[in-house]
Amino acid sequence: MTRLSLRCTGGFTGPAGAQTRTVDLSLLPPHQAHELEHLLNACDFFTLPDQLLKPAPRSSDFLYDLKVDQGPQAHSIHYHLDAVPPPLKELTDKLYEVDPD
Amino acid sequence: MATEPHSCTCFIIPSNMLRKLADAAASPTERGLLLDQCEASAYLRGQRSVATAPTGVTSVGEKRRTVFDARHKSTLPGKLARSEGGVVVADASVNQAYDGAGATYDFYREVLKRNSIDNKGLRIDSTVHYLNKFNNAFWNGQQMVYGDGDGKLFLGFTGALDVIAHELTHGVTQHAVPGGLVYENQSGALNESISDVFGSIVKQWKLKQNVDQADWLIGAGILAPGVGKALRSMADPGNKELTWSGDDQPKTMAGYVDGGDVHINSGIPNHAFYAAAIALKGNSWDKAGPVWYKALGLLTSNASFADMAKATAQAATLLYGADSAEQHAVQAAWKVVGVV
Repeated sequence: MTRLSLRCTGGFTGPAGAQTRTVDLSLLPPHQAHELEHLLNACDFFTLPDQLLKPAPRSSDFLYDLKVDQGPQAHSIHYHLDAVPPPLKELTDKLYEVDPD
Repeated sequence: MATEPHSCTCFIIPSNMLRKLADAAASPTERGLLLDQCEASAYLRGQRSVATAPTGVTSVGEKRRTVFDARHKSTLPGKLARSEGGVVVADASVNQAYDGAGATYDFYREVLKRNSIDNKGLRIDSTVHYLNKFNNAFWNGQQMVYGDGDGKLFLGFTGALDVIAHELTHGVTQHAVPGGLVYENQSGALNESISDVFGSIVKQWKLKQNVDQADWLIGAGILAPGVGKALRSMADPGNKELTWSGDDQPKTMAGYVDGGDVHINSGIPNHAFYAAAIALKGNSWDKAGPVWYKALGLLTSNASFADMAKATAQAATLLYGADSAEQHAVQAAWKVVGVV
């Protein structure tokens, strides 16, 4: 089982408006689950550092926290979108389209 | 070997030198001119940093608003919903975004003599209905984006003029502070505070409220009734009775949160502005607002609260003279919050 949980903070509301989007790949249609899993593998998520932050963020830069639980392994990353490898950016964009919890 | 074409924005006089020249200027007029040039340089540097992105630069001095509908997707800008001069449409969010952008533009134009967000006549684009149940509004560096709220915590954002002016002011800060204000630590909290300050001033200006009549709330009306009345209070940061149960903003440096979110520590400079405006009496846009606005050009990217205290005192000197009552009121306000 693979479960992804994305939290996003920024904008006018800041922490007050932070929303979490959770996806359980086993509950998605196979092609969608495969697409997200592919992106997860492409960015080598479980080997990425805990933080990937840009040096001089602007007010337009949201902060993301992505936690992935996959069987025995789990990993969380705190990041700005501009500071991550392209597959993680694409994964974030796709998770962002999911309705919040 | 092929040469990659590129454009480069170069500066004959660096902005820090322009600021030094301004400091040494013989008259307030000369000093003002030099600071304006400093801001123009900051704008050009901003253009260079976003040179690959399309921008809506239009003719100087012309108000142009465009509102789009994202139809609950994330693709921007979305479908065109209303353009400048267009008739009112059936979608209230579209009209509110249009009107709010107009009021903010008018304020900057009429009160602060600023030509749109970038002081170069930037077209103001806004997108409404961003994603589903999106609990936020933001300036993405080029345009405004509004969610509809989830209906449980937030009811929507276009109905609150201070929210619109707050976010558009992030664009102003991006251009008016040389290099922009880095969005972390004290410079980030200052960035947030400056947006709250002008968000509140624009609302007061539109409602014709003086400093005693104003509610000094940020985001009044955007929260669901059971959640709270507003997101923040400039008069009394952290007062949950005035705002909502999650309001943990400090009012003074005694409550400063090391490494805290920029939306938390912004309570301190927010309250400094409130204290200055109350001391200066009348309308916030007559004295306190122009002082804070003038200070933007005196800041650097990593400015601290103490730097802002110094910049506003310098701005007050520039506008009202050294040892003026205004300068003393501004300095006293920063003492109230424990910054100086």
